[in-house]
Amino acid sequence: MSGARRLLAEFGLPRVIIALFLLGLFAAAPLVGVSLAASLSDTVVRFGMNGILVLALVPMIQSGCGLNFGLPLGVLAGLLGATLSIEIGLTGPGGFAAAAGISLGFAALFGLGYGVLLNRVKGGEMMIATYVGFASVMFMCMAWLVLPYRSPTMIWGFGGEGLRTTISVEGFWLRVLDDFLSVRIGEEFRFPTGLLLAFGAAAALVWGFFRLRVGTAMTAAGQNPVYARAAGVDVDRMRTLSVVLSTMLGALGILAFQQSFGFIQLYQGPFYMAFPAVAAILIGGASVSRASLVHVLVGTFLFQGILTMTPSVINSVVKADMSDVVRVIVSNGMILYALTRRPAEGR
Amino acid sequence: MSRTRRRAFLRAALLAGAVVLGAWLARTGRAHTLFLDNAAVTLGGQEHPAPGAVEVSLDGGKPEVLEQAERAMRQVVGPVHRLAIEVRQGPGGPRRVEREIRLPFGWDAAVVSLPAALAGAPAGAVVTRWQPPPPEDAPAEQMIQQKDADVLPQR
Amino acid sequence: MNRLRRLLAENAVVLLFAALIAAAIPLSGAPPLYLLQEVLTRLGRNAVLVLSLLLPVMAGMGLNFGMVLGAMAGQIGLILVTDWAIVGLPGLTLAAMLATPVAVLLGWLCGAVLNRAKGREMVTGYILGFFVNGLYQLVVLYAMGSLIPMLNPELVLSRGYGVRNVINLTGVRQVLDRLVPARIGGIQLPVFTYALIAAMCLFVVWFRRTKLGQDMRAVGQDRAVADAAGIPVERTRILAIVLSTLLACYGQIVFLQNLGTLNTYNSHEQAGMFSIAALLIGGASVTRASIPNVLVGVVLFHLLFIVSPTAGKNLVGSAQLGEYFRQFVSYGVIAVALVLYAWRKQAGEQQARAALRGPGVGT
Repeated sequence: MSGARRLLAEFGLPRVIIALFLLGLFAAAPLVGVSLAASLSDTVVRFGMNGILVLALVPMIQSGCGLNFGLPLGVLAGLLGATLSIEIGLTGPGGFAAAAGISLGFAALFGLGYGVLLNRVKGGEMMIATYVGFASVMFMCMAWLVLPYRSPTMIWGFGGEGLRTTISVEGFWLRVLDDFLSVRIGEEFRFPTGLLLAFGAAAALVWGFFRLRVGTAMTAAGQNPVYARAAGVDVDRMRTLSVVLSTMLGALGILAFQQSFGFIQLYQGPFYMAFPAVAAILIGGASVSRASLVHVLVGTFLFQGILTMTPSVINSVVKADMSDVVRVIVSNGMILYALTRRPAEGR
Repeated sequence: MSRTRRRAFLRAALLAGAVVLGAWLARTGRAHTLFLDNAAVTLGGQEHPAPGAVEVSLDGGKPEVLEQAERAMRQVVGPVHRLAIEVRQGPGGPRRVEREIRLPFGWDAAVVSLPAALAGAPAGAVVTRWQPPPPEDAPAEQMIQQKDADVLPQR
Repeated sequence: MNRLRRLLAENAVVLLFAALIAAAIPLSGAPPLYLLQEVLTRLGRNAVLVLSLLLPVMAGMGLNFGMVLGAMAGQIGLILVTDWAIVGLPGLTLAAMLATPVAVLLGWLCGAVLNRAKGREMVTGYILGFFVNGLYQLVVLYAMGSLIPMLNPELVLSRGYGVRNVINLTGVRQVLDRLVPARIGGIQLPVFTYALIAAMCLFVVWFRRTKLGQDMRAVGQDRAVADAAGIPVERTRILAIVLSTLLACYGQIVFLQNLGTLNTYNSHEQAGMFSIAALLIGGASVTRASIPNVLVGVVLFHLLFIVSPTAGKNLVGSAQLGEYFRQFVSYGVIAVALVLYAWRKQAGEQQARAALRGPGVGT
């Protein structure tokens, strides 16, 4: 009894409720005529699509920088890589690799500047990150208009200016990860092996990183900066490194998302990208100051599961598409819950 | 009276005052659409023919000429209004009738029958509720199809 | 000389934006009379909303990103009044009266939540705004027209429930602005709205001198000291947010009566973002905001708002670019203000730490 209660306390009541809710949705799906196989397949694909974006939050939480609401910065680096790769005209896995390479370069650069900034504003990181993210999205909006891109697939035809708002990656690297070794099971279930492999590889890298000396130093810097400093850890350097890592993972994350989604969304597209990712990792059990890979995996699955299942199931039950409102309430409620937990409970 | 009781009493009075003020505001600010109708009516078996041209004015405003069988639309605010009708010529000879009309809160629109008002008919016969014809039922299928994505701001 | 330099440093943000606008006005080619009319109109429209931000700053809770809660309450009042066809000044007053309990309730909720998140009030208030926006959508998009009866079918979506995304507030349109009509040399002045704003300013000035206002300032300076002095810190903080939410609610009603149209699902989001940017452009910071900051900020922000699309078009041939630039500046100014605040705070903490280590070391 007390064991079960401890488990419940550890897992957290909101997570239990959300998990039960999702389970209920899956159970109800066949009853209202929604195909379970198709729903599961959708959930798995979206899990893979969003996984790396959620993973990108881990380094900054661990190093004590809080929830990275500045994730759009990494996304912007990813967009630059994607558009430049298409501009060069590379297709297939090579094009995707080039996009990733270019993105990582930009992300490292952006992350460095962003990290240095965040070191000077300790304690106010989250709100500043949000607005730095917003401002850079708007700055890039101007850039998309004036940058001299030429590729006809990306620019508006006659009378337009700048790049299109959405660019199809079809013919370049549409689903290069999804279709790699993908397996079909039955009529409606498709297992995106490559996508999950990529997510797994990224997760393994992060796992490995935190087992290295530098990784443990980063965790120490986040958990107790004074102690870490006394032990000879350069706290500011660890924080900057975590921001660079987070931004680079964000860039890779958006590329993995786009190749599956099929489109590059420019302009205001990256605006609210951080919020679903933040909500996902918090649903998984992370707090503002501590996150693990389990939190990423569980959280992404639960959150994306709810996003996939609510439109189809709720829609057929109450004859109304309430998915958007459910998403808003669940994700922001979760962030609010994490922000208002007393520090003692957060540990 | 103890201090807490006095405070509770004061609060209750304040709340009651707010409710009364709100009700009064709702009543005086309620907008209605009036159709001033100069067409023949039959009341209790007796026909009241529409006079020729009449001049109608509401609440002492600018009079408007209404020919026989004509209808005018007016927007009014508040529950009580003064209706003035002046007949220049016709079967009953020239005359002027003034009367008060009262509009229930729930009525969006009402028809005011001028011949009934001229004949001095009871209020219920002069002012009648007007309701728009029910819209043709949209197919249920279509109603569900309307997505929130079309309504909510994009993000 | 020294004083002049300090004056310049303190008003750096205002001067920067004034210079930017001074450069943009000739570029936009907007006629001065048109600009004057627009600015005077928008001053009346927006000042109350921005004023609502002052009290939480005084109470040390930073910029009240939760003010959108008040804006939502105001919109609910306006939706109901429009549905019941109650027009004119009575309609607007009733809308404010109906919205008052909603705003107080939401303000209380917001204050209680922020008390659980001391030290990160701004980000929490910001997320709370999104969360309550979800609840607002639940009410307006699903409950209205089904659970809450709607009288006017024109306000309801064609599917049978939920409020339309654009509502024409014809019944209450500009009733405050035109209550006392005034025209000076072709310029229309919303005299009554200005009187209302002046009254609100006087209220803020008076409130600062009351016991509660003094308590708020004490709490804002140092929570521990205020607590030791016997001030109920948590309660004072909640009251600051309740008052701010209430003012924001009335501010949104004043804003929308001037505009005449309500965008049911995004008017309130813009209200928060624009008001905070305006206050900061007016030279306020996270810890200090005054009535002149409000008025100067509204004027500068809206001037930028008006001229930047045309200036952008004339400069580089793209109105869209000017629009993006304006948004970039709005978000950027909030980011810069927050950075400056955190920066100073950190520098202060470091200095304090250095002082603790004893004389001769550090500094």
